[in-house]
Amino acid sequence: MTAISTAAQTAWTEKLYRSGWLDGPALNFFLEELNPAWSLLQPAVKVRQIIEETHDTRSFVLKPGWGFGQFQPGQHVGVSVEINGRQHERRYSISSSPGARARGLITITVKREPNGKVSNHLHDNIKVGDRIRLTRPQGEFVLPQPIPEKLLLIAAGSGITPLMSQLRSLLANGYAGDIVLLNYVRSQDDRIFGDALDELSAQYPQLRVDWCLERENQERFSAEQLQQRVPDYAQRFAMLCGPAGFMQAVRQHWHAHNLDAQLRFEYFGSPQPLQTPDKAAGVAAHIVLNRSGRSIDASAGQAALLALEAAGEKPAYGCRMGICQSCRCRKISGPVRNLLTGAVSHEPNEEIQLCISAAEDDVVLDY
Amino acid sequence: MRKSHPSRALTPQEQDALAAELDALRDSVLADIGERDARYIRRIVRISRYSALFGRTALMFGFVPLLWPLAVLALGVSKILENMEIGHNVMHGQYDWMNDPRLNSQNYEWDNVGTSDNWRKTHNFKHHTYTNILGLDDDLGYDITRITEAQRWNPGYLLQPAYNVVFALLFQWGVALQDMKLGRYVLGRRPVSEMIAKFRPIMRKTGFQLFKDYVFFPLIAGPNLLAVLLGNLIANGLRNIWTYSIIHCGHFPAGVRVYSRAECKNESRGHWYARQMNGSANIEGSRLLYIMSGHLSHQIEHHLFPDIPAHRYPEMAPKVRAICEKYGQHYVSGSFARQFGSVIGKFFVYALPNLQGRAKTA
Repeated sequence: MTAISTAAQTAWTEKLYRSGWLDGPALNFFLEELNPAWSLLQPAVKVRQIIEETHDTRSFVLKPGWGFGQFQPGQHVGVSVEINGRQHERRYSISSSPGARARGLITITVKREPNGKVSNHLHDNIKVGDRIRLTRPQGEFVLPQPIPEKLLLIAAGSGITPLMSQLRSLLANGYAGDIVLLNYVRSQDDRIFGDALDELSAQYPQLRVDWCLERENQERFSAEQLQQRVPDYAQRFAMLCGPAGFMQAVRQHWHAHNLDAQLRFEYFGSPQPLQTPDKAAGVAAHIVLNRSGRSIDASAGQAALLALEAAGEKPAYGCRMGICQSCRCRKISGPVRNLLTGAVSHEPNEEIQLCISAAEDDVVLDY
Repeated sequence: MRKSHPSRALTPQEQDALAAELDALRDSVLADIGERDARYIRRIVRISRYSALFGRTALMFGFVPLLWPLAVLALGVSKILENMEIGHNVMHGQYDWMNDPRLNSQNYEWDNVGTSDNWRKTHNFKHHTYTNILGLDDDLGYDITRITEAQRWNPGYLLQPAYNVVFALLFQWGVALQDMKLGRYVLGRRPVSEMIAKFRPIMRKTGFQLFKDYVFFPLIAGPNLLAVLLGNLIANGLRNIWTYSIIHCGHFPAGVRVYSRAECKNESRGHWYARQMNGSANIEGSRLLYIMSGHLSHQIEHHLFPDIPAHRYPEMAPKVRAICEKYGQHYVSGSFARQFGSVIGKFFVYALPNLQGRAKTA
């Protein structure tokens, strides 16, 4: 599954690249010429193996280069591919356990999204031996320490990927507690890791895997359905990952029962507030400032720069007409309209100029 | 002595129509940006890097006949490509669409004693927004050269033909110090503490550049220290003279207009476009000249579309020229010799006070 990116600490390789006392860009250029995986900025690593998980989901086994470091189960990596000269980065959860790193490998699992640029590119064009650019692992969606004695993992669709890494790691490391995995999928054909999970539950008696099939059994998440499946859910620590709408329902339920502290979750796509309040008159979109967590109102067609300034923020700016690039800022997610060309871009993780970009809908900025 | 400018004044409606045509041209090129542009800039980066590798390695062998001058030239060419076709254009955001952190306008640091942060301010913002507006565009004569009668004369300008030779040799230092406006501190108008604070990043960058070219590489050459030291000095000098010449052809040749602040108050996008057209001059030449000038040979197109990958300018130029003609705007273009000659001529003409006394606003 894809996840939204969070600010990560700078890697030593990037520090080397930017250090003032060494010509980092030159060093990096020749390292990349020698081996693209040696890049200080964006190691391009080889795909070692591709595994068909379902009709629309594939796993890619990769060998990360130096500077990748260790990851915790539940974290994600940035995967970037070049399409028509342009790099597109998406974040995918690692689905293998850290144990697999012993052989120097990690696995990401990618579901083909209907209009997904990167997921379709990975499925259609990437073969064993090709290189894709990989960033270091990051993310907060990890198991609490010490690990609770009873766990409930709730996955929907490709939300299983970070949970699979956690599950594999728990069992491989001799976790003695009790695990229930509630796995919501559309149909029998959409059981990502179906065989692997069957094997694991046969091998480890403390694991119970419940497949909730939407098409065959009309089984969807509800208070009754949960009560029926996992009567002791309130005693369990829950890890949740799935599409936004699904997660909204689950979180709402946990919230209503005062169980917020016993639930960890991760979104893919933009994070959404629990109950989206109707926007006040004249407010077309919210601009979420990722670093401060602040949310700012923007009116229709209002340049983000003006919206930020109206809210008392002081972003850098210059010409205010789209030529000087002083107000460049990374947009993490959400649609923006270019006020000069009228083009709307939904691309996540792209650089925008605040003075000529208007939020079309809720937007998250790395600001 | 002043002739009226050959471009005719545009009505507000004409300005809007002009803006619409140029925007349409811009959109048509942006829609086509992709693989080809990425391949082009990466190729230039590769040439620049390998050229530097060859130059720096060959200099290590000392004063070998033929090899040494070739090495100096290779290093100079590498620095010119890096400063002009890569650094300058990358910092304009021309390749930001690639999402490549190596070619990102905000992070790029060039091989020049000037810091990229200062450049992004003095050049991208001030010069490109206020192009050729007297009093706002610091690039207009760079505060030290008088190139229009609208600039107030003082006796110091008598020496400008001479000190411009020094300026050309040390051009990168001018770039580094431009934003400092040192005069203000000398005259006591600003506190010295501010000067020291502004100096710090410049010192760091300058220190690194000097260390690299005049300590590190000469030292690892051992006995051939002098060959490397001298080679680096000349390579930097070549780059300085070349960039100085190209950049002075951008806005100073005959036929280029200077604007007053009053003319540009609340200007429309169309007026801004017209000002960029009338305030810039092109150089005609070979493709090699275009690439080595970072496509500043197409200064007019660059000023109209500073964030479009520069190697596209030659394709856009005939269309821009046609639009210029349609709206009766003068398109200043000529060979390098003619444009640079015209600038040198101005150094001499405007070293002297205006014949008719009071300066008019151009």
